[in-house]
Amino acid sequence: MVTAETLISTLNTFVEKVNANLTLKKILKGWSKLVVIKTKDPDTEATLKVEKGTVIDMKFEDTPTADIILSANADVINDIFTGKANPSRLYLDGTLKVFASQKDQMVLDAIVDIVWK
Amino acid sequence: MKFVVLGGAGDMGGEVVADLAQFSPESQVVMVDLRRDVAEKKAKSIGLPNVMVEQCDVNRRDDVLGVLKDAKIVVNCVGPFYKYEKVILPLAIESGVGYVDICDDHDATERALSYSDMARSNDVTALIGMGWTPGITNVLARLGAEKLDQAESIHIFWVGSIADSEGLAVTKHVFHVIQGLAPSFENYQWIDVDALSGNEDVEFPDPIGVQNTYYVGHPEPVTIPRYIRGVKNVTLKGTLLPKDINKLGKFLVDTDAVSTEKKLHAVSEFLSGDLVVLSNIFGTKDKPLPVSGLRVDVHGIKAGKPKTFSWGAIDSMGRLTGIPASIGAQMMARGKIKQPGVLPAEACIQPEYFIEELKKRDIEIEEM
Repeated sequence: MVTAETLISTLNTFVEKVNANLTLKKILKGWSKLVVIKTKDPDTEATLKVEKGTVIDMKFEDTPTADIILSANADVINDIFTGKANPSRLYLDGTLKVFASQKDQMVLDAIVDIVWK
Repeated sequence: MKFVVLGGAGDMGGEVVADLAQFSPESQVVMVDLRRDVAEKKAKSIGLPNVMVEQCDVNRRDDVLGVLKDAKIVVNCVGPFYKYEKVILPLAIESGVGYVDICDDHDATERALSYSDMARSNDVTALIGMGWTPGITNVLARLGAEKLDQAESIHIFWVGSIADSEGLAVTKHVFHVIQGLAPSFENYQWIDVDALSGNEDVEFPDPIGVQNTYYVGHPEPVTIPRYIRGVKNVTLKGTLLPKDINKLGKFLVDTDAVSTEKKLHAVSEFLSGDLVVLSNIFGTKDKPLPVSGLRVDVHGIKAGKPKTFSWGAIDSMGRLTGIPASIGAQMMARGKIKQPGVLPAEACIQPEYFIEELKKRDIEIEEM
């Protein structure tokens, strides 16, 4: 089972990779969102503040004004952010719940894909 | 000064509102949309004090005339334009309000040009097709022509991603322009070519890379030969990402599934309903990047020798479309576009100024 510490480490690594990726910087210049990630087993919450394609802040707490909310079991979230699982497939089979516009869902899918390509 | 943005809560209109509010902070920017709740949410997310919201059904003439009252400039982002251009443009001219739109349908553009006398009579400037394609592409065509002694051929290409756009109007526009005949300008004359034909591999800026494009019906071949003198060829080809989605488009056209407005509406509504599913079905081999792009090649003669200028740009479709429309509206408001009539971008936009304005918004025109 994934621990809270593992999840925090996974998200920190993912954020570093996103911010270092030049392709993402180029294609997401207009993408500024508040992304909330919620897990169960263990219960954790994280808020990523994205400004023009760069994650400028990450807090391990909920934000009620989020643009995008992802929720799933901790092991599923860990698999997504380590590139082991395809988030859109998990969304389609109901394992991952996503509250976001269609466009934002596809942007998130592309971010994960590009980071782990 | 009051700017009115019709369809302001949409994907493209929201970008126009945000840019106008940010770069003309002394102005009032009215986001007009049928969906008040969506507009209020979008206005809140823009978070600038000079953005107001008004509700309006553009099918109701008096409502449109009402929102145009006291406006300096209206930016029309209500698509599909083959349906709404003829509704809104005459009302703007009648109201004496400066007009900018992002019309991307070739037939609607031809019709819009026919309102030029009416616009001149009312001393109204109507800048049409001021998005990315047409829009940025037309300005780059003019830039190339100005750098040459004689422009001979202008080839325009675009790539649009289904992961980069949402909304019914975009889907309807795509089906409208990939069926039937598309206008092209070849050997000094306008001809009709089959949409979806003339396949050509074209390199776009990274990370889009090489994509297979084909003829689609678009305004550039309709307007550019009227304003760039002596040009022999003006062609336009486009494509969609992921690559396999083009096969679905061709299949739906070939089977007459989108051949009437009723069928087109039903299919577009169905496909727009779940782009995530669509993206997964057709993007198994190549996931669609959430980005769109353009390329303009201008061939001609400089100092007696053949010379080519090629430029490209990529960004989100919303920014590529909305920001040029906002820049055009602000140029008009500041008196940088004065001549009355219905005008495409290449007729009245000074390229260097426009490209500098794009740069301020982090949209880079790359040499290819």
